[in-house]
Amino acid sequence: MAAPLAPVAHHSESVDPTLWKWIQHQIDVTTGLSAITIVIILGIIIVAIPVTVIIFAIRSKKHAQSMGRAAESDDRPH
Amino acid sequence: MTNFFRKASTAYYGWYVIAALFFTAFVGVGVRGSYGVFVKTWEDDFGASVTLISVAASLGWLMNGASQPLFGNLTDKYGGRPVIILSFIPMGLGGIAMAFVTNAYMLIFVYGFVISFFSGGIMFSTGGPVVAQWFRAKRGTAMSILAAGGSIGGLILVPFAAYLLIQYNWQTAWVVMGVVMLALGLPLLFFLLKSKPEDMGLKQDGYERTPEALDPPPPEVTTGPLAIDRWQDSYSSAPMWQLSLAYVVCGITTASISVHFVRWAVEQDISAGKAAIAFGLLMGINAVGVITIGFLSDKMERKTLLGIVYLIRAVAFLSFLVLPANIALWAFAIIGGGSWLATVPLTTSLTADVYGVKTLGTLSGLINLAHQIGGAAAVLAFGIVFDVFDTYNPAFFGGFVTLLAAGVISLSIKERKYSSRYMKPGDTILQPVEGD
Repeated sequence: MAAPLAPVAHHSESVDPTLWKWIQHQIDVTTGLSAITIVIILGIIIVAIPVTVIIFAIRSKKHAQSMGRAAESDDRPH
Repeated sequence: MTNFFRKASTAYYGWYVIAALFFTAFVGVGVRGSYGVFVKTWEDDFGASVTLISVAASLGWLMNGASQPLFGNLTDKYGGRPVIILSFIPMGLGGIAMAFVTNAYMLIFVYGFVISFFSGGIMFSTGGPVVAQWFRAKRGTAMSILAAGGSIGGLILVPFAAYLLIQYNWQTAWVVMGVVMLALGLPLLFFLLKSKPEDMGLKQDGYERTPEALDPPPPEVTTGPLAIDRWQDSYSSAPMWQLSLAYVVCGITTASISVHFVRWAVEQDISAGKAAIAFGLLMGINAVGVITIGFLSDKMERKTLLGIVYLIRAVAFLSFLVLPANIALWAFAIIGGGSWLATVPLTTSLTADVYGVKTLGTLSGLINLAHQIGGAAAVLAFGIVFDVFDTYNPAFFGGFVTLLAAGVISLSIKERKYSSRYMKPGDTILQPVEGD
């Protein structure tokens, strides 16, 4: 194929369709999972990444706020 | 585990920025990478030739390369946050719009122009400057995580799209991918992405937050002698040419393999299964390799690692020439895999170290453009070589020689003289030396 339908992600080229067909066959043979099962597994991974990051970011923000409050109360004259 | 949560809660905010950019690269590269999965289906549905469908991919490649200096320049002017968010939105909408494409010409417009153009706004020319603003001591590691995001995105999203296609249809697959971008990626960027630490009252590397735990101590010199305010000035010094030339070779050697690998494998009677597993291996090593190299680049000279990476890839190319095809396949997957993406964080980090962060977006965009031009030329050249000689060997030899040259060029960069990493307090700003 005389167009950049590439097999490996380097600067976001597109996957080569022929190579992908080969890889997909290998995935099917190796895992034996149905299409919907693979979609669900990969979907969970895709959703889990941003959700995890957001949870940690919220915890971090709360931690910073509580540290700030603690510092404020230390500064206050008793 | 509790300790891990505690550490994560007190982590420097820059790591959350990296996490957001990681996911941006993850979906951005993954969505674009999945295009090839749909080619056969579109061929049948649109009654279009593969060549016409491939025009969208080729055009997309050029658009992506051409848009990067533009978005990089906007990042230098307005910061990474608005540019990345405003590029991400049309890219996500473009993903959904793909579901409503009814012929190859619409495909060329939506994918070749819209998605590919705006994908230039979420790549290294915009993400790289943001990383460089947030990190100095761990710049290489942070850049490598960003690069790995793209690699892992290809690993996850391409099969995701393919199995959505099998389970439902291509329209559903594209709607889901567009929704993933807009519903998951956009909120992450909106809430977490900040252009620079000063926007949150922080300092680079988080020095302000934990002053008692500084290792190394905060640098007093943050710019090198070649730090510039105008991107044009970079071309009057050697490192910009050295980095660009080496990156052209990176484009030559990755794009050529990307496009011609299948034809080479078929010509060598390599079984489809073996080729598929070898490339799976390359992808896995690729992601691990880039993070390892990024981490190491914060401990030692980046130009040394960059040179080594090009030389390692030269050995991978040499394996095509001197080893039997069945062994060369595995040698290339293992040796080449480690070096495949490692050039990206090293080149961007080194550019930031030498020229500073003020014009890094434009410089990264220009260097990436050089990469894409080199890649496009090489794809064509490899095809011509195969047609004329009926073998890829002369082209592989050409790739080997250019990689040796890239290795030498990279090693000749005077990093200790020009990089801000090696400046000491009191060092004076030097003027670029002609021909140095």
